[in-house]
Amino acid sequence: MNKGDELLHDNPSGMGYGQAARGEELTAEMTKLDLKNGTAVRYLEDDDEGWPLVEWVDDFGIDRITAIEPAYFAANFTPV
Amino acid sequence: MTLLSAGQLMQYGEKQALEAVFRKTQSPAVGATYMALSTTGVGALQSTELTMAGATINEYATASGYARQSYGPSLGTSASPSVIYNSAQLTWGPFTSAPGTCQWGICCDAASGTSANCIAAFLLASSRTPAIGDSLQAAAGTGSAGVGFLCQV
Repeated sequence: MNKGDELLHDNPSGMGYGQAARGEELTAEMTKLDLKNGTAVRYLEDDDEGWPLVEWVDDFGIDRITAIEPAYFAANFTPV
Repeated sequence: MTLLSAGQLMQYGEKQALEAVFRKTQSPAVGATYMALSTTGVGALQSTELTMAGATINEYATASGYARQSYGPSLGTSASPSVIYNSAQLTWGPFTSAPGTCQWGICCDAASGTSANCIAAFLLASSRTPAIGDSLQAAAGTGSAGVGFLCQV
């Protein structure tokens, strides 16, 4: 994986990243801020603990960086 | 998280600023800066911490979905005191495990890693404890005290 590589959040359950971690619906406010299924991301780097950092843009147009659990990343992010 | 205290330069930032304005060294090259979140108690964060490896830094763990966000500051204002602040809203998360209670924002010069240099610290006006699935927002600065991550010299 190289910096700038594009991927798609592709969770078969259709859940966002935060929703999948919580295991239930988020509040309306937090749903808007979630890394939703279908969101395009760019790989930034792995942090010191081996968690991939991805850059993306949320529903409000705000640039975000989120650390993704490695197993979740391998299973639910597909190269574009 | 709309109300934040004025930020204070930490030792690394103070030294960089003084040596630049007194023509002792060239300023650092233009580059990105990032806002970290810290759980250190009020009164316990040491401004002498040079890097994010410092014993009193206590940054949120990335094993919670947390990552530093791009600070994206404005240019310093043409006023005295001159101020600098985040020009857009900052949002951390979503968190995949409870990261604890944050008390501080710490501006540093790398997106990850403990070798990042500490530039400035910002005491949050009120602490925040995000839950699993939550995202944590901070307002964009306006140049007014108490709004956004504002730092002055």
